[in-house]
Amino acid sequence: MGMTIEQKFSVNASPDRVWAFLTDPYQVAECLPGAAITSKIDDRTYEGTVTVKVGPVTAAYKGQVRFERLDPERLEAEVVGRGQDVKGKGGAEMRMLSRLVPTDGGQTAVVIRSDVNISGILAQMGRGMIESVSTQIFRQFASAARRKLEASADSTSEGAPPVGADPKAVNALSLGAKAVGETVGRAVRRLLGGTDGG
Amino acid sequence: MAPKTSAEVGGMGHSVKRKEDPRFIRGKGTYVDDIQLPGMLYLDIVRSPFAHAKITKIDASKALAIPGVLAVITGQDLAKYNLHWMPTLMSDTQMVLPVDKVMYQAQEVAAVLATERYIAADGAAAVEVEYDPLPVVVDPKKALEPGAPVLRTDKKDKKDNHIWHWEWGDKGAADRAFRDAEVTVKEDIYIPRIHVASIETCGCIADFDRVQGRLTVWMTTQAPHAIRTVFALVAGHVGLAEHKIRIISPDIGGGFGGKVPVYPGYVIAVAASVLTGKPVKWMEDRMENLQADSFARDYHITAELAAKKDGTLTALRIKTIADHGYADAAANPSKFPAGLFHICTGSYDFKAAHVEVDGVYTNKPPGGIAYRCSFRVTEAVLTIERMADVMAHQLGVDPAEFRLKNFIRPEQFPYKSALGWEYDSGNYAGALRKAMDKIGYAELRQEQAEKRKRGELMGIGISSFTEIVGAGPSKQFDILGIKMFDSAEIRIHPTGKATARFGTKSQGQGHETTYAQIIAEELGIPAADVQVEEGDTDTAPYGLGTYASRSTPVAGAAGAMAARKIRDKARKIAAYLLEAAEDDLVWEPGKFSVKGSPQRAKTIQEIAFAAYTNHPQGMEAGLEAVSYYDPPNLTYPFGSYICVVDIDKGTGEVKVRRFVAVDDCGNIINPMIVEGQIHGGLTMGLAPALFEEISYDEEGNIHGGSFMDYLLPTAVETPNWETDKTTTPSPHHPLGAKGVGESATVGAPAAIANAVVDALWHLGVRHIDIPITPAKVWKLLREKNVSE
Repeated sequence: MGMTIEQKFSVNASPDRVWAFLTDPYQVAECLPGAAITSKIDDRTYEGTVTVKVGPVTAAYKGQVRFERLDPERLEAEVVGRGQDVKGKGGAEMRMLSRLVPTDGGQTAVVIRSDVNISGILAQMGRGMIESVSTQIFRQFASAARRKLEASADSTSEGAPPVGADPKAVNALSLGAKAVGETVGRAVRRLLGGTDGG
Repeated sequence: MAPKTSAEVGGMGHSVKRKEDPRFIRGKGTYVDDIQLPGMLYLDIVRSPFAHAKITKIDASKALAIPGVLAVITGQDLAKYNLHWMPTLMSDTQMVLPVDKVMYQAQEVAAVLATERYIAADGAAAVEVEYDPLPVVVDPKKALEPGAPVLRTDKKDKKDNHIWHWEWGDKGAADRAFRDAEVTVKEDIYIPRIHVASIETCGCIADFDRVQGRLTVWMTTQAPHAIRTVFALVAGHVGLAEHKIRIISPDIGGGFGGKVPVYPGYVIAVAASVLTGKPVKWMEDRMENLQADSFARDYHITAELAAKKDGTLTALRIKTIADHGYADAAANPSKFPAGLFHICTGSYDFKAAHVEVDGVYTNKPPGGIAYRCSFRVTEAVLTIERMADVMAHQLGVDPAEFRLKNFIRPEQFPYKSALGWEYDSGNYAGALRKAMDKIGYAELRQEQAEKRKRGELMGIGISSFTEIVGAGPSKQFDILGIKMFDSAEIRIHPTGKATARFGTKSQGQGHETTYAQIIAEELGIPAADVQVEEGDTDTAPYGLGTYASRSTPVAGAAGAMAARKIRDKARKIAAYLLEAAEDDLVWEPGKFSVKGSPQRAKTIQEIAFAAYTNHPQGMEAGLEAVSYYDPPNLTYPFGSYICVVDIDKGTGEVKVRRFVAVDDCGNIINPMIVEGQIHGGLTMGLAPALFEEISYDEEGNIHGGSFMDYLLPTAVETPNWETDKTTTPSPHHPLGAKGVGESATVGAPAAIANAVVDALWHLGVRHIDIPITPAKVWKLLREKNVSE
């Protein structure tokens, strides 16, 4: 099941600082709920895991991410990821294009476009659910990234303590519950005759 | 027609309140999942995430380590008993559990047996299966291309994905008519895969008594007797004989055809109970129900009509690719592979017609089922009614005028169609004219013309459908060779109350009420005094079940015939009691009196008492009868629906402003129930027209596998239905009734689709496949440069 997810958030940090963060898979993984980098293959290729729990269904993907293109001049990065569920319940592929746009007051806008293709158990949950879950994951990522970057805006040290989520500590169930809540919210709004805000 | 009986008796024509409702509205119904047996075990099913894959390993160790998990059943386990495959009703085969590969996403892979339902679910999640994905075939047209991966590798010598070719009608005559035609039209029409989504999912409790060697299955089935025979045929070799099998279909929360097939879960539960000697419950969850149970429709149709310039239709030609998923497991009781699809000449007097259908395998769940129509009738009606509109617009003739010109006329009945059906009775123009008057057709056309000048999009759609129900005459219908009769057994007790048992099974149709009314009509015993029972194969007479709107036409007729046998015996007893000749007795509902002296009378209650206490010498005691009714023909309910839509140019949303439905189902048993059936049917016709579709991506991932994505209409989306009727009795049915459960589902989608296309025809739109979603309309409007 293929879909394109476009998201945008803004950080109170310089483009250089955000660039350093976004091109460091360890830092990104710290901020991404359920994600961890397990090993480095080469400068551009890493192995890792992502666990997503949607209601009663858990998918634990194991796979590779690779920076296909890093353009520091234009502040654009293209990352390709590919993983398989450890229990053989399906797979996921992603091509993510990130672009940084400096904005007024030293802020940086992060614009992300992901083409995601999932198969198997999560695809079975259906587009409505998966899009809600993706949005939820992204929001958590954006807020963790913002906290991390804004807390250490003037620091460039690599060894900054992780403020993002520890992969094991992520409450994936509540993530699913939140997405369900959102989708149910849409249904309730429909029932009440309101317009679909989602 | 004024009712023959008083309101207290409640025979035909009275809106008797439904006897089943007190228990339903108080939450006191007994559905399969309400039944709890001591020591009951629970089954949950591991399902495939892939649409086509080799199973390389099933590791059950982690599941078996969970306390309470008793067993993990795989295809290999069933193969020991040769139960890993089962026959389908269409002489194909389908898997119970796979031994080497899976053929669709959500297919059963293994089953977990546990002491608690939640433990069974945890166990299913813990089973680890290794798959080796295989190329997936989703598009049936691509499935037929040379070089497409062959799916049914289990069948020796199968070199392609083609299941069967079927054609019907006079091809030569149709081709000649098209060659000579002055006007022809042709459209590709796709009728997508949909799901009945009944409120109760499927499930069962299998309880094998090892001491008595007896199997009892409480099961969500529309056809308990047929299921018992199927079980005996399939499992006879492991010792399950038919007299040792009892199928009980308790209260059923909606069937619509989805509870006719035998799903693998039932078979696994039975096997698990036989192996453990304990009762085993299996209940699907909603996603399993939507993703794995039999679908409906999925017909890729190319239809052509030929006509003269004056608007007279001459010929019809249809070619269809039927996507059956990985097995032809159609719940189709007819002798025709495409069911009753050849009712597609509809309400029109065609001189020539030819239909071809090719069944194809794909990596999707097996099927199909009817979705509240008597198998492929909605497909036929949507096609002919859509094409009638295309031809009318093409000729520049008003679609109503076009229909009135081409209808089969009342004096032509019984009418033999170009495709061989004998329509029993009809007055198609009468129904359409009534609908036009009720909705104000001429004024609406005027309003539409004015709105069009202002650039507003409004459409009026007509569907003048002919249904074909009541399967069926034994020359055309059987299940595994069993003729499609149905049965009734009536026992009148000494105090004049009755118990009546039928071979059908209500799933919400109100049989407990309507069958009692038929007996009230025939015997004058108040409907309140008639207890109707169905669904238990130990007590009910053998019957083929409820689907295809067959209960009233077939079992209802059996009820009337059995009641008439009782009346014949009652006449003899009355003659004896009144010391009169049988021929001198006059019957009026509820009593016999002597001709010329009406005070000399015996009520049916007095006669019933006498049947046990004071019957003539030489006569057997008791007052009861059985009838097995083989209908001489099908019944052909019909109607005309008119729908008015407004289209939002900004969002593409279709708003149904008005919908008038004039139905003719012959003589009516219970007007309230008929109206309820039509309301429900119209809503289930609106659903596929605007909302419902199950589609698949190229890897065979299901779109529409939960209610997040499979949209059912709620009260918000459902318009106000305006219903009316005409009455044209069936000449061959004992009560003149025709059946009504499915008419509205069959007739409604075409009216809605025609209204939308009617609103857009001037922009060059000729056809839109259902469901007509806002996205589809929005895209079309942008293509046609229509802006808000």
